[in-house]
Amino acid sequence: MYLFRLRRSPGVLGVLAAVATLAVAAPQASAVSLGGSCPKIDATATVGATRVVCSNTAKSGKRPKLRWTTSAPPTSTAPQAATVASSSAPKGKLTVYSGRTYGIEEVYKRFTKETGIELDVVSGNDPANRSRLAQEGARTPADVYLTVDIASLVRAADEGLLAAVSSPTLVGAIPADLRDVKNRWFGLTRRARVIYVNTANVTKADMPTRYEDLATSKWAGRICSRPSSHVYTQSFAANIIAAYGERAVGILSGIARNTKSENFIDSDTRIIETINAGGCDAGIANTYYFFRPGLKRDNVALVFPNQADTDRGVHVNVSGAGIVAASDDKANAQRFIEWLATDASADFANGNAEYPVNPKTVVRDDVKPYTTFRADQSRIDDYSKMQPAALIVLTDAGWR
Amino acid sequence: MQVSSRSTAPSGTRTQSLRSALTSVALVVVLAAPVAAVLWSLRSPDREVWSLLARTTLARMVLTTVGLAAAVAIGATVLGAGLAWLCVTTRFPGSLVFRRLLVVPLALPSYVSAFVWTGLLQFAGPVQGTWRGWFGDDAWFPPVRTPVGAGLVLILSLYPYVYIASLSAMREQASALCAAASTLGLRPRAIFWRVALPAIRPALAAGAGLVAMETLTDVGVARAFSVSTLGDGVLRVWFGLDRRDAAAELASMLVGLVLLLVLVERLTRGRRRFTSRSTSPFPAEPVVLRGRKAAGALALCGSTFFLAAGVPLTTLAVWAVDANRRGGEGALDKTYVRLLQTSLELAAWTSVVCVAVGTALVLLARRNPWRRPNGWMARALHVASMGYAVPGLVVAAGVLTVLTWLDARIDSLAAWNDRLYLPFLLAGSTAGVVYALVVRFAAVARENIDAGAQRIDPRVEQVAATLGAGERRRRWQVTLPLLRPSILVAALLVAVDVLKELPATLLLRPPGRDTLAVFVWNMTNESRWDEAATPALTIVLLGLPLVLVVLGRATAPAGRR
Repeated sequence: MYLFRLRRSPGVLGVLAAVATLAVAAPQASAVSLGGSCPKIDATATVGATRVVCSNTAKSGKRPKLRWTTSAPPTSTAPQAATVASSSAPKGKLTVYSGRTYGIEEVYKRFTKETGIELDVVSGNDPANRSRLAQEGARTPADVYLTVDIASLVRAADEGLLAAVSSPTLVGAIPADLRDVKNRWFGLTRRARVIYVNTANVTKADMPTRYEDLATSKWAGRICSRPSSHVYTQSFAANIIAAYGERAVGILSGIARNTKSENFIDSDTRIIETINAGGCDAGIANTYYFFRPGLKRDNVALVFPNQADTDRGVHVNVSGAGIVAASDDKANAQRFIEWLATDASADFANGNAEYPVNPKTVVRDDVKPYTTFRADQSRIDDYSKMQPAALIVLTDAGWR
Repeated sequence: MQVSSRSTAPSGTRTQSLRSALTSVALVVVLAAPVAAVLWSLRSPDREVWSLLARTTLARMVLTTVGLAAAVAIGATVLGAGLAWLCVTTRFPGSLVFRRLLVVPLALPSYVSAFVWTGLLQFAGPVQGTWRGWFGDDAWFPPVRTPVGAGLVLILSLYPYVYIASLSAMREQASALCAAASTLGLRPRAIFWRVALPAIRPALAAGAGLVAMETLTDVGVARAFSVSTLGDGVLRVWFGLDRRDAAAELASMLVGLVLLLVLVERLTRGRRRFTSRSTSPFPAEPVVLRGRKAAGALALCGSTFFLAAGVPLTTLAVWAVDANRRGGEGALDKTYVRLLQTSLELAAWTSVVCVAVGTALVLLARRNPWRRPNGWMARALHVASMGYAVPGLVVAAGVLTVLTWLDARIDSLAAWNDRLYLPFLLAGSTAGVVYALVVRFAAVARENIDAGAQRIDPRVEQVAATLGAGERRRRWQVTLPLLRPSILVAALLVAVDVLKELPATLLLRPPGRDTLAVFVWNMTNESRWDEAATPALTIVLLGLPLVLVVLGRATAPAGRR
């Protein structure tokens, strides 16, 4: 078992070698070289209950040879719990690469107030932050990677940018299908992408009940859609592809055809406003925008599609977080994510009217009537990997 | 006045030549490295992505992009030059006020006007609501999210580039020529077509070129209007398909288009240069418009200002008041102060470095060691400062590649000697952002300083040389003082551009160092227009005095600069 995975594979091998070595050698043995090369001097990693440190094992004057060794700081052989406690003792700063740009400022402030740990937040879109993580490699200042879209999180994990965490707290708070099987990423909130319908122009009988309905000719010229450049559309398309395979093109091109070119709108709230004003009769957008203060929505109904017992359920995306593999303060990073999933879960989710993944969290009152729905059961990390493919399909389908 | 075929400044000694050669090479390498790193990706094109694009959207993207750039350049040139001519040669009620006001849109980032205009004009917006109230629910209204809509917003936010260039050219190049033509009895219309227009054509071409480049590299307006341009395609391929190399390849098409543009501009300009020593105010006697003509001129200037600045600014002000009344994010609070501070710091650093680099580029190109204005080194210097034509995103990607490479070298240096403690990271540092911004905006500084340099009568330097002034003395005591006004203008223009700049800052800013523009972008991305309003207005307000200074320099009587 290893708790920490480095981006550079030789490092991982080294750490694995460390596990083997430690199983035989006494942990107190000093300066045991563990073989694998490592990224920089003084980088540390936790292997089971032991910290290993990166040091130069070459004789002086020779070219440097960076290897994982057990000659760690005094805390090296302390049990993991103690390591967490000691490294969180000096109140530091956590750097968060966040795709969430709104609704959680207050949550950040509360964390700093409660723990004394300051948060430096780099907010930008998920893929941009991920490519930045990859570029900065072992020297990244980031400790936590927070996303609004699951695909980027899963891809970051697959690229080895995220560290595995063993946290009973997180395992207890988050249902198994909303976290990584290898414990590298954890869902924090769910976001359902539903159909908004104009109630003045669409009769009860004509209400769409499935996403697929929107692809039929009945809806020609009546749909508002978000352009395919946005991850929400890409995730939605990935969901359709997961359900239909190659036939997805037909459905997606149907929806694209039913959308007039000026009704490709790169903003969920503007899509809802346009539906409300009668500019189009139906469109797909996330639920939480419905609860935005000031949004005009008198003529809008929110429909959870594909809810029949035999159907697959509404497409749900996940906003989540993971600990950056190259973080130098994993203990506090873990503490932050645990805190988001438990103590702050209500604030975190309710601040933006999203659905908390933690079943114990109390949902805010106005959202409560919209919480009973069947979510798509397919594992979200499986189809999120199809996102690049989804954009290809969308492009082929003529989706703007 | 004189029309000289080529400005030849006297050359220096051999060591000086060597030194300037080395400086040139260093500047070229530093400025071109990021773009070169991106172009390097072309060595192995991503066939999969290219064939997908070729099958689907490539043709439309290229056509839309080229068409949009051409239309916007033409529209902005006609509007900008027309307004400049009107404001300079005629007097009508308010003409002196409008002369200043018309430059205000320069301070308004086009992505801000784009989200304001789409908000106002969209189906659910106030304009169409009123429209339907008047003419019934089925009343036709032109579709908003179209290339035409995007083009109009771009023209309205970019025409000041041409306007300013024309104003200053009319004053500096055209005034004496026009005065002469006038005394020879040419009518105003003939003066415009036969004298003024040819004389200000280099300035018009430069202005139109800037407009076209801005349009080619635009991403924000295209996104707001859901127009698929090459810039938007680059973003899709990079972040949607997760193919950064393919995105860079696509972006190099943009670079290609811009190079084409520059080439065309150079070829049409040829070797003509206009130098003028005139200090007379221009025109000696403006035509006073009356009656219907005055009303027409007033309506043109008024509606341009109203649409390009009045409406967006008023809307932003209303939204800003809302956000501040509500409190929370987007209000005038601690976060805001931090954003402001970061923006100003970045703008200051970048304009200082840009001006230094720009001046060096101009001086080096002016007397490069091979003494040929069109020699390969002069060309290299020119190409090296082409960062402006490369989308900010691509510059950011290139800078990231270069800096991470350097970081790795620093790493191995630190590993080589334990006592050498080098904990810093270039990628993601303030220096990194400034580097990217300098790569991007050095051209703005260079263009402006170069325009100033071309207006220096070569005989001034020749005289200094015959009087025995050495290379260095000529540079510091003759050329640079003459360049000072252009250098100041360049610094201000760069500062305004940095305040507005988005993609490079967005991708490279260090943790916790968001700028106003980044905040605006993040908020608009999440449809929180109210919250974006206060910082957006701040960008405009910060840009305004700078823009007015630029204008003052462009229109001040020549003798009192």
